Amino acid sequence: MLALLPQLVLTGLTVGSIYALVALGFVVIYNVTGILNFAQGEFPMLGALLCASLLAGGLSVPLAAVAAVAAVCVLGALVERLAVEPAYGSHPLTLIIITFGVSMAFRGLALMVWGADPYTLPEFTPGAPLVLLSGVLTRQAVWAIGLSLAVVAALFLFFACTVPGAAVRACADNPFASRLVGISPRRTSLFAFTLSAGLGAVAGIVIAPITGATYDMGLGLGLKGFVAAVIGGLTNAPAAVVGGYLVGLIEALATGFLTPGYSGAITFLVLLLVLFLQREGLLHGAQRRRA
Amino acid sequence: MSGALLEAQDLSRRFGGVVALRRVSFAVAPQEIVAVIGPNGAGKTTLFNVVTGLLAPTAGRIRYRGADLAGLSPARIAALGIIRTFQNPMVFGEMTVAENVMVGCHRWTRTGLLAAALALPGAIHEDRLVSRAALEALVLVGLRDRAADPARDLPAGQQRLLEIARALAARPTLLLLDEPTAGLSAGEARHLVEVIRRLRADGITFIVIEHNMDVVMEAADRVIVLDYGEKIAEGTPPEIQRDPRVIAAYLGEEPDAVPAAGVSLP
Amino acid sequence: MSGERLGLAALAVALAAVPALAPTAYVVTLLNVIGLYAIVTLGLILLGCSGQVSLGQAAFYGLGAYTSALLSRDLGWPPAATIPLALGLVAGTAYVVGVPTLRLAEHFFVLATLGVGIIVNVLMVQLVPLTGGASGLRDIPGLALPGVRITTDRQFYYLIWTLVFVTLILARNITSHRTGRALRAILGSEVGAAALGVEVSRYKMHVFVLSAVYAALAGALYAHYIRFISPSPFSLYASLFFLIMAVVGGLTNIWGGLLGAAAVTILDQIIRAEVPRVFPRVGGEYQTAIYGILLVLIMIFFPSGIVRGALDLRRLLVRSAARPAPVPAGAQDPPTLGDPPPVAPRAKPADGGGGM
Ligand SMILES: Nc1ncnc2c1ncn2[C@@H]1O[C@H](COP(=O)(O)OP(=O)(O)OP(=O)(O)O)[C@@H](O)[C@H]1O
Ligand SMILES: [Mg+2]
Repeated sequence: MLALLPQLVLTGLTVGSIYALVALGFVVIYNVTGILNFAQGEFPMLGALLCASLLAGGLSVPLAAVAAVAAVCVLGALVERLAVEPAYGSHPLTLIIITFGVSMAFRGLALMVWGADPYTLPEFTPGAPLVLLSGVLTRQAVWAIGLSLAVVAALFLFFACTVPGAAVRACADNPFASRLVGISPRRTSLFAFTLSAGLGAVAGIVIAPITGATYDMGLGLGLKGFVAAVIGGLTNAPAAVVGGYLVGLIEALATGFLTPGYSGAITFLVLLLVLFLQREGLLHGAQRRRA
Repeated sequence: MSGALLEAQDLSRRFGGVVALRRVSFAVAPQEIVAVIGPNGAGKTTLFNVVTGLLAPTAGRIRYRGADLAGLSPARIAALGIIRTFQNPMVFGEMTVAENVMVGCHRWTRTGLLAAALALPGAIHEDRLVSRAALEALVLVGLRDRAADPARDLPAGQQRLLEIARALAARPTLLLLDEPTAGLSAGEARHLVEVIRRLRADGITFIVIEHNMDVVMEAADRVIVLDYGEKIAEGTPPEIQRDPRVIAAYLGEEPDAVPAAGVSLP
Repeated sequence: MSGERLGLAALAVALAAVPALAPTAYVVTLLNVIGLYAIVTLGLILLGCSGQVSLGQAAFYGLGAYTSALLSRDLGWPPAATIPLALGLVAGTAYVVGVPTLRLAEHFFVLATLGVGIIVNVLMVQLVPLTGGASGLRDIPGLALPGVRITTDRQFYYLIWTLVFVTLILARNITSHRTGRALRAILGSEVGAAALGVEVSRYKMHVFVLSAVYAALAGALYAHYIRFISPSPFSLYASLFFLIMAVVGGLTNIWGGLLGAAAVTILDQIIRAEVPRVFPRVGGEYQTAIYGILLVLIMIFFPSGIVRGALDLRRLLVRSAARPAPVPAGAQDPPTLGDPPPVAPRAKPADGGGGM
C-alpha cells in the first residue's frame, strides 16, 4: 500500500496545482465583487476545448494556447457585462442563481459545439517522464505544477507592485472609499471576471494533455476549486492556493486507498467539514451586504 | 447602582487594532431616558451592537434586570424586551409598512409553524390582534396613511420612523434608538421627543444616540459622552454642556462634527 | 383573498375533470409528473421565502424515493408506513445538514446543499448491495394504502394532485400569518428580524426541513408510482431543474410553484422532441444550454418570476402609455397585505471582503 504513496502524492500535486488556479479565480472575483462565481469551472473547459479546436485548425501549440486564453478572457468579460453586471444591486441569491445559469449555458453550448467525446491535447514537451522518489512525474505534470506556480507568483507581483493591482486591492478593501479616489468598481469587476476567466483557461489547457477535455469537465473542476477556495477562507489568495494542493492530495489519496467511485464524494465531505467548522456570524454576513 | 434596569461593567470591544469601546461602565434606571453622544466613530453604535448581542464584547459584562446577557443571541435579547433601531434603517423593503410593524409584534405573539400551516382559529385571531396593534403604532409615529405602501418607497427619515413604530409594536422594556431624528424635520423631531416622553411615562426605558443637541437637552435625563471608545463624561444635560472635556472632544473634530444646536462655548 | 379561494376551487374542478376529458393517457402521465415536480418546487419556494436556495433538493427527493422503496421492497413493510418513515429520515438528514450551515452566509449554504446532493448521488451509485447501483431498483411495490390499491395512472393522478393541493395550502398558510411575516422579514434583513426577536436560524431550519420533506414526499410517491428507481433522476442536474421551476414561478411566490413546474416540464418535453431535429448529432444534456440562458434571462429581467414580471411589465406599459414621463423606480400599486415579496434587491455592486 505504502509503495503507492509517492505516486499518489505526485498526482495529487499535479491536479492540485490546477485546482489552485481555479480557486484563485474564485478568490479574485469574490474579493472584488462579493460574488461566488459558480461558473468558474467552465473557463478551464472552454480554454481546453478552444485550444483543441485551434490546434486542429493548424496553429502551433503555444499560439493556440495563447489564443484560447485570450478568447476565454473575452468570454469572461462578456459574462460579466451581459449576465452579472445587469443584476448588480439584486439579492445575493439572484447573483448566485445567475452564475449557475451561466455555467449551465456554457456546458450545454459546449456540448452542442464539441459533442460529448473527449478531446486530447498534445503534451507541451513530449518526452520520457521523470522518476522522483519512486513516483512517476510526466513532463506535462511538471508543466502543470511549474506554470501554476509561475502564474500565482505573477499574480502576487501584479497585486503587490502595480497600480492596477493596487486599485483592485483597494476596491476589495473598501469599495466606497476607492470610488472616492476615482477607482471604478464597475471596471474592477469587469477586470476581475476577465482575469479569473484567464486563470481558468490556463488551468484547463495545462491539464487537458493529462486528463483530456470534455464539455462537462467544468463541473468537477469548478467544485474542487470552490472547496479549495473555501478551505482557504474565500478571501485569502495564498490560502486558496494551499487549499488547491490540499484538495488535490486528498483526492489522489482517496482514489488510491478507497474504492475509486467514492473519491468524488470525499472532496465534498471535506467541503462539508470545512463549512461546519466555519464561523461566520449574522452580523458579518449583513455587513458584507451593506458594505 | 442597585435597582438598575441595565448595567454595563467595563465593556470593551476591539476590531483588530481599533478599540471601539474601552472599559465603558454605566447603568440605566427603569423609566430613565439616557442620551449617548460623541463624535463620529466614538463607538456609540458599537455600544448598541454589544448590548443587543450582535457583537460580543471583548471584555466586560452586561446585566439586565440583574441577569448576565453574555452569550445570548440577538433574538433572545430582543425576547427579553431589549429592542433597538438601526442607524441605517433595516426595514424589510419588500413588505408593506404595516407588515413591517406587524413583524414587530413577533415578540409577544405565539402562532407557530403548525398553527399557521393549518390556519387554526388561534392564528387568525392573533393576526387580527397584530394588525390592530400595528396600526396603533403607526398612528403614534404619524405613518398611518402610508400603511399599505411598500417600505422601500419611504424616504430615509420615514424609514427611521417606521423602525421606531416597529420597535414600539414589540412592546419593549428597554428601547435603544440609534440617531432617531436624523433625516427628520424640526417639527417631526419635536413630535418624536413628545412620543418618547409619553412612552417613558408608560414605563419604557430609553437609551438614545443623538447628534441633535436640542433633542438631547429636551428629552434626556442623563447624558453619556463617548470619545474614542471611552466614556469621558456623564451627567445631566446642563452639566455636560459645561464639561470642558466634552467641549474639547468636539472641538478636536472637524467643524461639522460639532453638534448642530451647539454646545455653548466659553 | 376570496379571489384566491375562487381560483383554487376553479383549478380543483378543472383538474378533477382532466382524466375524463384527457385525449390521451400521455396527458395524465404528464400531469402526474408535473404534480410531483410541483410538490418539490413548492418546498423550494417555501425555502425561497426565507431567502434561501438549495441545490440539494434532488438528493432529498431521491432519499425519499430510495428509503420508501427499500423498506417496502426488501422488508415488505406497507407503503403507508414506509412513506412517513422516509419523510422522517429525510427531515432528520436535512436537520443534520442545516444545523451547521444555516447560520452561514447564503452562498455557503448553497454550497453545502450542493455537496450533500453530490454525496447522496455518489452513494446511490456506489452502495450497490443496498441501492442496486447505477442499474437501480426494480419491482418496487405499488401503493396499497389501507382500503385502496392505487395502481393506475388515473388513480395516481387523483392521489398526487390531492397532495399537491394539500401541500400548496399548507405552504400558503405558512407564508401568511406570523410565521410568514417572520420568514419575509428574514429575507428582507436577517439582522433587522433578529433585533425584533425573530429566531432567524430556527425559522430557516424549519423551512429547510419542511422543503426537504416536501421533496421526500414527491420522491416516495414517484418510487411507488414508477416502481423503478435509479440514481440518474436524482442528480445535481435534477436539483438545477427544480431550481429553474422555482425561479420561473417566482422564488417567493407560492402559486408560482405550480406554474413553474408545469411550464418547465412542458418546455422540457418540447425541447427533447424538437432540438434533436435541429442539431441531430448532439446527445446528452444539451438542454442545459437553453435552461442556463433561461435562468439568466429570468433572473435579470423577471427576478420575481414570470407571472409577477409580466404583471409589472403590463403595469409599466399601461403607465407609460397614459403618461409619457418615465416611471420612477419602485412606483407601484400598493400590494395587498399578504402579497408575497419578490426577491429583495440589496447587494451593492462591489462589496468585497478583506485584502488579497
Ligand atoms: N463591524 C466592524 N468592524 C470593524 N470596525 C468597526 C465595526 N464596527 C465599528 N467599527 C469601528 O469602530 C469604531 C466605532 O464605530 P461606531 O460605529 O460604533 O461609531 P459611532 O459612534 O456610532 O459613529 P457614528 O456617529 O458615525 O455613527 C469606528 O472606528 C469604526 O470604524
Ligand atoms: Mg453610529
